[in-house]
This record gives sequence, C-alpha cells and structure tokens, in this order.
Amino acid sequence: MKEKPDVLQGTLALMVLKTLDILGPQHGYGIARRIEQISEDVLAVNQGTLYPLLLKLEHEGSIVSEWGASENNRRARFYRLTAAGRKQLQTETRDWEQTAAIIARFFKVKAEDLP
Amino acid sequence: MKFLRRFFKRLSNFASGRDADQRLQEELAEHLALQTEENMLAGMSPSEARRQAALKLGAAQAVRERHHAEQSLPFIENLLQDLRYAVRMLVRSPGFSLVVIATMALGVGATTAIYSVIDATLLHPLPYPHPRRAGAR
Repeated sequence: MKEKPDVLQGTLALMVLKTLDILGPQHGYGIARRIEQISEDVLAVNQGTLYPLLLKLEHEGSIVSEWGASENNRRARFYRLTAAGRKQLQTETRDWEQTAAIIARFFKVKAEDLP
Repeated sequence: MKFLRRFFKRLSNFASGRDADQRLQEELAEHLALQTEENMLAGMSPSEARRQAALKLGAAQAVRERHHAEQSLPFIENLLQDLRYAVRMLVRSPGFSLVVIATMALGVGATTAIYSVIDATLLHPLPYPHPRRAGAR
C-alpha cells in the first residue's frame, strides 16, 4: 500500500490561508475538514498539528481569532484572515505558481529540444 | 517583519506568563466533539466514533507541547530553568561550590598572568635592536 504523502513544510499554512480566504471565518475543525475535502483525502493531515500552526499564523498577524458559537451552539474559536494575511496569501500564491511553472517546464523538456 | 512581529508577541507572552493552554484544551475538546458527531452520522457506534476522532486528531500531548512552544520562547524558558537549577545546586553545597569556584578562579588567574608575561617578553619585545640592554649605558 502506498503511503499518503505528508504535507510539505510551509504548504499547510498556505492551504489554511486559502481556506479562510474562500470560506470566511472558520473554527479549527472546519479548516481541517475543508483541507481534507479539497485534497480529496490524499493528504494525511494530522489534525492536531493544525493548532500550533494557527497560533503561529496568529502571532505573525496573518489571522486573528475570537470566541464564537459553533454550528451546534457550543463555544468555538473562530479564525479570520486579516488584511496582512490576504496580502501574504497573494504573494505566496504568486511565488508558488512561479515555482510550479518552472518545474513543469523542466519535466516537459526532452533531449531533442535542446540545441 | 512577520518574523519580528511573531518574536515580540512571543516575548510578551513569555514576560507576562500568558498561557494559551486553556484555550487549546477547549478547542481540542470542541474539535473532538464535532468529529465524533460526524463519525456517528456516518454510522459508527458512539464509542467507535470517539475513538476514530481521537486517532484522527493525533497525539494530544505532542500538540499541546508544540502549541506551548509556539506561544512562548522555549529556548529562554529552558535557559532560565537551567540557571535556576544551577544556582540551587550551588547553594545546596556551599563548601564544594567554594572550592570549585576558587580552583577555577586561581586556574584562570594563573594562566592569564603567565600568558601576560610570555606575551610581553617573547611575543612583543620592546621595539629596539637590543631590548635586553635597554637600561644599560
């Protein structure tokens, strides 16, 4: 059986930011659930690791959190993207796309293409 | 900029002793509750649903430790802890501490003194052709 790939260092933060960007304020479980769904269960995210990461993003000022009521009216901590976080997401998205494009070009090239 | 912000936040948390553990516990409990509900909707028995939810969350203690490490500055925390421990051990056996400190002080002092002499006489002699005869007429 093939093992599920671990999340690449740093990409989980990007996924969290993007999820919050699309869906608006979410609690930790909501974020974990979305990441799982979007990646179609290919990624093995140890859900607990999300919380230290959320705290780190909060310290960096990319997100803020506050208590709110969850779907079933219990207390839950909701995370929201800040303006700085949105800007960070944009630059990181651009960097990521650039890297992916460069790698894709390397994969496409064949021996006979080269002069 | 991001790094600095994070550092000062952690420094202020460290200085004020602000702890996020209570908050994390509450978040994890809510997380488990939601996942358990979802598992039960998927047809698991309550105990199995709870078990699977806990498995999916991973090692809670490790998460708590990492959360705490992010909240504060673990390096400085450990350093202070070690310093406190060192002082406590020194105070506990003052005689031994005194002997060790005196030995080290004498050792360092003697080494420095000898090196100073070597430095002045052998390595940097006076800048005359015959420094040994400097006082002679």
